[in-house]
Amino acid sequence: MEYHNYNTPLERIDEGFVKQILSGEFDPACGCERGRKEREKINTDCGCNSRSTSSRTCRYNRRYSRCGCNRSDEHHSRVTGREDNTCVEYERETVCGCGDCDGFTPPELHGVPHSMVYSPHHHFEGLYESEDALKRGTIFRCLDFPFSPTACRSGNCNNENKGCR
Amino acid sequence: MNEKKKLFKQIQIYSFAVYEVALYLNGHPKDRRALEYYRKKKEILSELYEKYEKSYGPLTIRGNNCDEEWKWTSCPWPWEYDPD
Repeated sequence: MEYHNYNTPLERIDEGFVKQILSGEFDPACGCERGRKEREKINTDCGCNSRSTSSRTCRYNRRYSRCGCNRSDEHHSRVTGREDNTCVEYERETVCGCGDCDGFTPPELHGVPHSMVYSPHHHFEGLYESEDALKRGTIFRCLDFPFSPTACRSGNCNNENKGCR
Repeated sequence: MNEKKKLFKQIQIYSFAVYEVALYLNGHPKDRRALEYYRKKKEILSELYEKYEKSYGPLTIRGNNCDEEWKWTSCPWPWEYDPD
């Protein structure tokens, strides 16, 4: 198939686009007019416009509580009215913040393949004996991880000493 | 564990190994070590299938080795196998 000609997503999609994402310059907003106005409003209120990634800073930093614009906590409280002083005053589900459009599929990503991920190259080594493999649920020692909803607590979740890379 | 169960267990073991390496080969179709592993395990599995079906009846619809009688319907169904 066609995609067998590609080894990495970088080879398949435009290199400039990937660099844009990696450099943080890519703005995943939906691009709709209302969304643009909402973002401008957020940016203006936040005071982060001094940075080229201001809109991203404002929207993304709700994860980190602070927008990083170096203004005072008082400024943020005044702007947002939120107890945690975050810059983002809107709890929107859509990326652009307008609440009207499907912000999770911004126009810039149209045509880009879904669910392309990076994974370390898997080497054929560190195999279990067949009988043990059935018990462990894999023939590969390096894929034998405990299924746990929490982080590894046993300290035995890395690939060291499993005979595989 | 009687001979039949031992044989069945071996089939499970080698079936699993074949499925696992098949998944690996989907992503690494030219890996010589994996191809060799697949060949060996599949060979053993085929022998085990043949041995089992010859003695205890077909494991799959394609495993009826007897020309005189269709044994598929008279063999135990999956839920009739003793889990031990």
